[in-house]
Amino acid sequence: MKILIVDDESLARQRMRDLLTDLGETDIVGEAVNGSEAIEKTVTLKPDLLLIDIRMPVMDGLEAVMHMQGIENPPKVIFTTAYDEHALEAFELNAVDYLLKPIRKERLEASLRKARPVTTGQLREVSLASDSKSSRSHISVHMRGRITLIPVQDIIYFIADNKYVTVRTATEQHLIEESLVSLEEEFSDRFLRVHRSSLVNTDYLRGMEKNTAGHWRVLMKGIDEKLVVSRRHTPQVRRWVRR
Amino acid sequence: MITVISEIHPANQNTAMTKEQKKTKDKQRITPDYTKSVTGILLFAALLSSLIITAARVSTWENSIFTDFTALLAASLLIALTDALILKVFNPLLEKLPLRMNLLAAYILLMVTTFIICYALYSIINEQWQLNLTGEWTEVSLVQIFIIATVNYIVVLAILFQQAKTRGLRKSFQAANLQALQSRIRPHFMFNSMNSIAGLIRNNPEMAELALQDLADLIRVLMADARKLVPLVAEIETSKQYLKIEKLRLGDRLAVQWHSKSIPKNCFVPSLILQPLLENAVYHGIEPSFGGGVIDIDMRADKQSVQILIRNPLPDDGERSHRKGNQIAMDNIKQRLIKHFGESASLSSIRRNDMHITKIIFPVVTNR
Repeated sequence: MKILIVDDESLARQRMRDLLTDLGETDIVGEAVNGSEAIEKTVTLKPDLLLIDIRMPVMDGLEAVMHMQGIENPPKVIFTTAYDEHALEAFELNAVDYLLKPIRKERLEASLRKARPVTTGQLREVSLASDSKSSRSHISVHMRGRITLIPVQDIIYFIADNKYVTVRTATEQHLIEESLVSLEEEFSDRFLRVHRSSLVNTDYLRGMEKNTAGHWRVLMKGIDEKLVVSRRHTPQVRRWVRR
Repeated sequence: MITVISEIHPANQNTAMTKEQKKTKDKQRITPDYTKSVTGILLFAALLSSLIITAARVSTWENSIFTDFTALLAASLLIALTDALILKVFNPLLEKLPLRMNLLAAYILLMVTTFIICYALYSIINEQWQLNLTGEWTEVSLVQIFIIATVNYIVVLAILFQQAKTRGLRKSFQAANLQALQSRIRPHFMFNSMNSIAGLIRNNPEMAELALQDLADLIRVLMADARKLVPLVAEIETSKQYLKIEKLRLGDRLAVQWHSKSIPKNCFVPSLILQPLLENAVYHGIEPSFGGGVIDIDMRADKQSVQILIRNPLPDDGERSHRKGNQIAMDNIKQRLIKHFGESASLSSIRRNDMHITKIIFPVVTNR
């Protein structure tokens, strides 16, 4: 079984390696130190099993596994955690494998035997119950077996167009299959609705201007493009710009 | 631009504490435990009821009053001891009843017992020994029975409730202490450290030994009475041990710089005023950041006061969001500082650019 170990603490990774070796699992294909590295290595190394810590910098384990749901044959997952009062119950309820640190060899052995892939539904339940943040730190774009991660703080706007949503950063543009409504809900503390079909990152709001036809448009940092503000959303946007 | 990101509201915490205590109090049902030292209490009650009845008879003052009192006392003692026995026997049953039913049942039990004993005394002893213990078997006797039973009942309840209340208070006090202890140890830190040490044992036993010693020392300090004053140098040592354990876990991601100038050797502070601040610095500044950073501790003192500045970087915007502020540690330290030093001590924190700076000032106090 090809195994990938993910933990931000090197001693924790070393211990996991030792325990796995004791149990005869020697095919450890790699190690990663955070969620986004875990995704990268999962795509390139194609492990069968992920032993992944939940709390890590940059991107936590739950979010990383959530982004992996789009790839073909996602690996089986065993989460590791030192302590999470609320999530443990959710793990049990949703039959998601987890190990408590300090990790016991027997527990690890039992988990290795019954490890299985997780579903998005299970992950959502666990994520809701856990102490980790409720919104993703990255948006993932799946393309031909590859996963591109876009940090949410780099996103300037989302524009909905039929089935797809365009994600725009200062340098790139991607299409994702998500609904604008759920994006608005998830990132409500950061993004502002300016039109029925567009959400703008408030960190990038620069100002408003009226064009010759009398329509308001927002100006954003980093790009020259201007987005139309619908009449219904004008007051809110104006309040933000004045701040 | 300077933003005050953590204002301190000791008052808020007080309210929270009171609410919490109230909750615990509500949850704990106060039930009299009839097995606890009831006999002694009832003996006292017997004396009391005898006195009351004798006093009631004073209008008919006769020579026999002392005999009367003695006889009454003897009868009351018998009643009291029987009451105690009955309550003890019935306690398991009474305990299961709701409080009101419990009290009513106990009262009825006492009444019945008193009645039976009085009647027995009247019919057996009175007639055989010609003693005027209960007088004629009239309404007066019934009133006497009522008085004895009621006095016994009230005295027992008053004392038992007092005891139950004290027990309840002691329990909630212990709970509060435990809670305070738990809020001082971040479980994540504790269990991750143990995991690190478990890993070290096999690859670097000597380092594991040192780490375990540091962890033990730290737990010892955390478990000690937080109201105690300790030498400032000891608090600094504890903080260094704590950072050593964190360094073990975080490796190169954590760097620490200590600067200290003329720290008085015999200066005393409340224990754990520095370590929790460093724990905050690691938790909010280093752990969530990919590259980690430097925690800078600057301590300087003059003859009157000591000032300590703790600087830690704040992680990038994207990494910051999931660590909610831990105001508890700050409030707790602030309260203890004020309690020990009054207004001459202070704790504040500001955010300047991408740095978080915590400043703590307290007077130099040399004797305990």
